[in-house]
Amino acid sequence: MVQFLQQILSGISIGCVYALIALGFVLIYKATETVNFAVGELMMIGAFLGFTFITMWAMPLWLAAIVAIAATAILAALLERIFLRPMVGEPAFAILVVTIGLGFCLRAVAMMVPPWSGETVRITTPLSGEVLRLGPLILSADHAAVIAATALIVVGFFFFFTRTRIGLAMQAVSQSQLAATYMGVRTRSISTLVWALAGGITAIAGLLLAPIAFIHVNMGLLGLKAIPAAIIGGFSSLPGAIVGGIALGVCESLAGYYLPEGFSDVAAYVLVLVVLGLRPEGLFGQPIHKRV
Amino acid sequence: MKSKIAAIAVAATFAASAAMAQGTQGVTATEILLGSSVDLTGPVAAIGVPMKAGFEIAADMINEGGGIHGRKVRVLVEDNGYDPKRAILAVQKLMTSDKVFAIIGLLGSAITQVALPATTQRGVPMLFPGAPTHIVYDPPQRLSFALVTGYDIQMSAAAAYAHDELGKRKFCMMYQDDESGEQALAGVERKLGELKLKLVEKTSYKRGATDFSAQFARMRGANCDVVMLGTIVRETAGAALERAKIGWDVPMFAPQGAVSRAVIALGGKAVEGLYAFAPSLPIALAKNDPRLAEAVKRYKEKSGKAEDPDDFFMISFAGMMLFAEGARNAGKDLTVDSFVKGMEQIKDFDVGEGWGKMTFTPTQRLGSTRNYVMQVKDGVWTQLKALD
Repeated sequence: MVQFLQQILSGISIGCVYALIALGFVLIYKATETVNFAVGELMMIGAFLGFTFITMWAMPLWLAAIVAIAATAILAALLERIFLRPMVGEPAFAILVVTIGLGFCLRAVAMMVPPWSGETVRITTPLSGEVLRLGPLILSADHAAVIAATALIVVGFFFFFTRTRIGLAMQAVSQSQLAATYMGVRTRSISTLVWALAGGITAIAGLLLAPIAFIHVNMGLLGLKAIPAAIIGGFSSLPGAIVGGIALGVCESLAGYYLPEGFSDVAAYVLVLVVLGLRPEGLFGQPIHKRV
Repeated sequence: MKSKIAAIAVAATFAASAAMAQGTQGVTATEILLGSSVDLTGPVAAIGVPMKAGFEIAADMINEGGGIHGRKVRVLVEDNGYDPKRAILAVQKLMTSDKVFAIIGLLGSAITQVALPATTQRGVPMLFPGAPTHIVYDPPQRLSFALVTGYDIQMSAAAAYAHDELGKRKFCMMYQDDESGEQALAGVERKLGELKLKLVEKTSYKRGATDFSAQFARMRGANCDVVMLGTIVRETAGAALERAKIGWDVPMFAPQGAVSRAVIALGGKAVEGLYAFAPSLPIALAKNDPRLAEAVKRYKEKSGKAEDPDDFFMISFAGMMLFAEGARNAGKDLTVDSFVKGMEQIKDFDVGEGWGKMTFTPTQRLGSTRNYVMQVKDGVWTQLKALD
């Protein structure tokens, strides 16, 4: 029983990382109907920037984190402005391919930066190596930080989207771009802002992940797991992204422990199939009916 | 006009065939051309770039000493970005277009595996790849010579050490689910079979994974008293971190890839006490060797770096020394045949401190089966023993 709870606990913490990336993914989808395959690489850039600021420029941890998050947010906004804005009106698949291409480019650029390329590096925080004991269960302090940060972000987002003007504007744009435009919302600026926000969140995910896993140019592939998480939660639901991510993490963790070798790698996708089979719109998604 | 062109064409054909009829590919009156392909820009460029330097510095040192029977050695190094597809193209180019005498010091097990059939088919010797894969020497082939032991030999020796010296009986293993990890697993299982034991629990992970909590939870649940790893660099550190996180005080053994500063940098305190088995010592421990010290000094001057090169520098350097010895034994008339015979004359050859003595015979294509038993003490890799 203890092992079962222990596995669930570690599953929740890695699930929170998936959840944050899925959040970034769903944010962009909700506001712009764009599927963004570059979220993983944005996370990787955010993590590497954090590493550079902390280790090479010797910034204090909190400052390095803030600057890395801001820098990634600005990068994401620039990417949207330069590459995605001209694609408005093009077929959705074409936009998706552009984001895949952006992902490749970001990875290639990261490989060209000498201190990043080919290296695997690690950020150590004051919490590294510490463990919390909850009775017989063990939770490493870095994992606990992930869970705590995710909870804070979720609460922050709730207030942002329901109480602030920009949050409401984003909600409006995600429900109907046309109606929002009529209401005076600057939809194009909102798109850029959404990308900036998503960039910031994925950078946070990367910085939280960095002490747990390692930072390397291929860590963006972990971000691809965000897509099954978003699908499970319902593609256009923010709470769904969180729930989907955590469900994914727990499922992988339990599969790794109880099932034979190799199952933990496919657990994510099996879960997607199961959820889609039972509830095609995802756990929290809105079923859409079209009358032809 | 047409007959003039025809005449030139005929003359060119004769000239070309005359050139082809002359001597062995890669060998001229003044030069021996060798080829290699390593990762200069990709994920393991930190290893490939020092390896290239090792070839060049070794060539310089050989040439300054008069060369090999009056011929200078030159090594052409192509980049492959650690991608087997690019590597095979690079090797083909070196063999057919640059016409090298031999391929030396390829970096990477997967790359060596795809290249070996190609070099064998073209009759070009494959020399001393920097790849712990057994196919280079097992089964022994005429045109393939190995310097480093495969993961199977390393981990087999590790299992024997854990059994004999540490008295461990309940073995668990975590291995990477690809060729290199499976070789490590094969080595452990073979040795345990000889000792009439079996693995109590074995777990695997996909290449690139960084979360080992499930694997360690299972191994701990199986109550083993020693953990064998079939890991490379990053995962060795990850395994050590996981072991420390769950507070499990069990000895762990890793293969050669673990003996790297990167493992200590990534793992920190958690890797203290970790064991590893490697066919050569790290440069830091082999620097008493005058030849190696000279080579490292030249590396620092050439690259402008203050720190020692990556330990794979030793592999390319030692490979060049072995090549030079085999080529010298072959005599002035250097052909593939005379070279193979020259290599087979090498007995108990000292290629430098930090390696076992090298011997090659028609049935032994691996220079030495020595393993160095290493352990992390006070944050650095130290040598415990050398087992032949």
